[in-house]
Amino acid sequence: MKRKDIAVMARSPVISVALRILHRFTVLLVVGIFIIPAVWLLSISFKPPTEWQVFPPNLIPRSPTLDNYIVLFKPEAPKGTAAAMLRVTEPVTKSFLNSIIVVPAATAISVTVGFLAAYAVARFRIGGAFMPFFVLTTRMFPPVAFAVPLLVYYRWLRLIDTPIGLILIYAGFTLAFSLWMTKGFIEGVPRHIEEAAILDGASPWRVLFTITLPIVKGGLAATMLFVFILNWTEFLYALIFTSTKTITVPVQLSHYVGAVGRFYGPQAALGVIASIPVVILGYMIQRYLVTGFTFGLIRR
Amino acid sequence: MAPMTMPILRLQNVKKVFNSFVAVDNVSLEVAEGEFVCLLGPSGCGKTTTLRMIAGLETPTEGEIFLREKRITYLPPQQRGIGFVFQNYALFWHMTVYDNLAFGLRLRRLPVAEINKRVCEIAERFELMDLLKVRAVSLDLSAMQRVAIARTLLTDPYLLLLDEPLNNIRPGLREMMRADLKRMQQELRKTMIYVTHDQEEALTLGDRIVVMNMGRIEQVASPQEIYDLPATLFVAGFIGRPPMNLFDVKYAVEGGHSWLVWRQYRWCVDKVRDRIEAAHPENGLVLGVRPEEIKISYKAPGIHAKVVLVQPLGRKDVLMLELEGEAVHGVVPAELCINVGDMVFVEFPPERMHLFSATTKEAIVHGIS
Amino acid sequence: MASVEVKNISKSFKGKPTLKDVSFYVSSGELFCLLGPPGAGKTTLFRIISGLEKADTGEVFFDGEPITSVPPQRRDVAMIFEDVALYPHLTGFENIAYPLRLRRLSRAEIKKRVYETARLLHIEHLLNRRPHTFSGGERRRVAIARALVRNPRVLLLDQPFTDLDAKIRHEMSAELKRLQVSVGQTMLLATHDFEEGMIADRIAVINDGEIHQIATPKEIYNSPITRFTASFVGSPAMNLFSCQLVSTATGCELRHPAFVIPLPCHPVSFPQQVWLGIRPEKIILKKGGKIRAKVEVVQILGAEQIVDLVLANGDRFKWVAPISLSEKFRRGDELEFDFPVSSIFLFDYETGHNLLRKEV
Repeated sequence: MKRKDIAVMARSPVISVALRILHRFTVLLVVGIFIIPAVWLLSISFKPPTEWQVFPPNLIPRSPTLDNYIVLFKPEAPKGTAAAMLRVTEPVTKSFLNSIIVVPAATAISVTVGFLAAYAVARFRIGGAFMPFFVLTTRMFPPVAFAVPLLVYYRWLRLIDTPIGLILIYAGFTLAFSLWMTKGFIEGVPRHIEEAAILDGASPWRVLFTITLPIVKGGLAATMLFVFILNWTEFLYALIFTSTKTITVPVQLSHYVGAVGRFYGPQAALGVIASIPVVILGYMIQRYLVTGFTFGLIRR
Repeated sequence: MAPMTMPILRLQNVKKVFNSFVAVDNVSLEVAEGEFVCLLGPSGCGKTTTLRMIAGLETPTEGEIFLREKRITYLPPQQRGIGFVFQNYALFWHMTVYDNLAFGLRLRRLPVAEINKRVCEIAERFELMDLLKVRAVSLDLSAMQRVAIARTLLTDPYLLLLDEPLNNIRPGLREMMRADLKRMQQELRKTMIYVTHDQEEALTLGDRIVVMNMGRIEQVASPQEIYDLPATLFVAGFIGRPPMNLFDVKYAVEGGHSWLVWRQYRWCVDKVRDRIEAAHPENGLVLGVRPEEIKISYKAPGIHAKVVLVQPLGRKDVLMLELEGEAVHGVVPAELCINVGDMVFVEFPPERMHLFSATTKEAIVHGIS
Repeated sequence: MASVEVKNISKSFKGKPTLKDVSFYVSSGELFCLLGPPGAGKTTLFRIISGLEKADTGEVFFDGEPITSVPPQRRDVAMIFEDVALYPHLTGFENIAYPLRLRRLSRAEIKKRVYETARLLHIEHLLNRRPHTFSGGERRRVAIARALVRNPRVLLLDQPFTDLDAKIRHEMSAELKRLQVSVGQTMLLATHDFEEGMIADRIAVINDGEIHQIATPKEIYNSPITRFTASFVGSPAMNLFSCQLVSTATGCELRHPAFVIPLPCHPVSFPQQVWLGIRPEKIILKKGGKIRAKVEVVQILGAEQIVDLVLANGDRFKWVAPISLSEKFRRGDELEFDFPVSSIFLFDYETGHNLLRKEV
């Protein structure tokens, strides 16, 4: 149906109401599809073991319990026969702390270095035309391919199971994303604006921090959120390069497995708790996300 | 000045609202076949929106549009038989001139021989024969314009709509292309509706001009009428470069005569007293005189004025004068060699003075003698 | 306010020469216009003067001192770009204050200067708003304020009038001139519209990277050195006819397929093929005149008529009918004209040089 015909039809009141309902319904449907796993997770986190694998599944727990959350922090607390099968002996606080230290640090390093590098590449063509592609090659291989050589280096540098070690790896691997994303945003800033600042008397560093940075703030926020999520949920390298001291949340999550199978309840509970920082971060920077994508440079 | 025969295009109380912004407000217009009509106004006045509604790229919120008396208000653009030339011509850059021209015809699945014939015909007429194999991206502006127009003509539309096609072209070339366009229109006798914000362009091209402001039509008339007899204050101030000089004046009756009073100067308006009094002069009057009609000389009589700025324009000079504390524009032939700082005498010829109501903004009388 | 001297500047991009040995001098406080079609090299030249680009050869001097080695930050040059380039994330006030902040002026001083400049340009109401809410004319004025607030030695304006309504354009022209006079600012203006350039004290006509002529506006109009200059300046453009110059028993003759014009012979020897140039307003309507043409298009511009005519051989030309002529002409009318000898220009067919111009 051509747009004009719909526009015409929309002029009749009955049809317009129907269209609006259809519109709302479609939006709810799409949102719903994305929200369902999260809601389900929440639901499982409050279910006792008996309800974990019930079929047909029920959304509302019949006998809600906080046991799943408690066992995360007090693994010794008895929880019926299942508890004995639990191999986890440590509360999650440690892994949480590790994640909270390692991930923001790695994200900050990645985004900062990425931004500065992106500026150099975008404005001064450092590294030649090949540079951006070159940086991208770090993501072209399956991450596990780098694991063995890195493991050898790390053993030699005694960086295994240290926060610094993990931070460096996370920063290094997400650098490609940081650079590419911020490069795009920087290129969106018209050169003339920076040149005007130069003529006004600003040194190149001044231009970068007082002109370019504020304009791409939103893009940086989006990049930061993206990199944060990548790091926060990273499992493979955390598993390989940490054991007990620097264990992170994703690895901790994988420990909730016993001989009888997975402990969905505590896993779900940990999942819920682990989502909280990301949600908070997203909420805090959402303002920047919106302005970031429009740049505030609307002309005409 | 409505056309005598069936108008080829008719807009009836057309209104267009975007969210809460009224872009076009109650516009009614009739266009006769073969006419060159210009929609003229400042940016944001609704002229482009009106044009797009005629084309079908927008739908009116209210009102109707008739093409040869058939209702086309909601008809999709491709079914209207109307050609549209965009501001930057919208040619297919990497296709040759031939392909650009043939595009519409190929869409209609005409036989190759027929397409060839028509394209060659029009290429000949528009002097594009040598350029048929050239890529659109390497054409110069005047050729691009011709291709853009030729392309729309190939589909044999009832009328042609042009959206500021000469906007970005430098002045020297612009005049030539304007003349080309006018000549072409006269030869083809195709109805054209042309949107522009350049009043000089509208005056030179249009058979009739529709002056628009803030979504409404201020005046529809021939270029001469728009220039000599502007209907509203807006039209008076918009048409003419430099713009018309405007003064706030008062009306007084003294010694048995009626006068227009400005500072210590008076003009007798006995002859048009009735018209003035019917328009409630006590609410305020505005007097307008065009810069090119002011008489400027080194000799009395006249109002004493000082030349503050001289802008030479080649064959004439535009002067800015200081007259009793007001900035007044005048135009003199370049031969007079008037310089900044000169003291001159200024006279306003009564037959070229226009009077407007300060409240209704409408013209009261043109010429006070 | 500095004087600017550009000496033998040449610049090529990817092997294509954009500027070829350009030289000129702008005195302190002068409004100088660089006039030329798009692609002539005006923007490149401005970028070299401001320091954003380096020339291949040649030098630029401010007040007699070479500044080629001085980085753009320190040249104290202000440039208004064609696309204005306001800082979108800063308010009007902050935009104008930016250069002052860089110079570490006191808050009070900054505030004072910003308000002064804003008043000068009538933009006080824009100080608290962001650029994306401004109209085209307002953005330009804020950009000019930002440039003027620090009293730069040189102000460069690159096509400052594009995208503006005719009315605003006119106001801004006058404002620029007023600013120049009141502040004594050295200004260089680049444009392709000769009418905008005519407010300058002197104009340099540039085409294809070469300067054709540097003179006052009136001189450029009345004594153009080259055919390009003659046809670029003037609205409507100068009429040009390709003619043969032959000597006869009694003197010289200009021969054109549609007419013949006798000329008083000039002592300098002429080439054979020339361009005959005459401005549309100088053509005289005369019964029995030598030039016969048919009216094609009449454009009425208020008080004037601009008539497009075509000659027997198909050549077209324009005539501006004097205002005093009250008769209106129509398509198809046959008219006769004279080209007064005093108004005729002759240009060399190959080089485009004005053959009749007396060198000063």
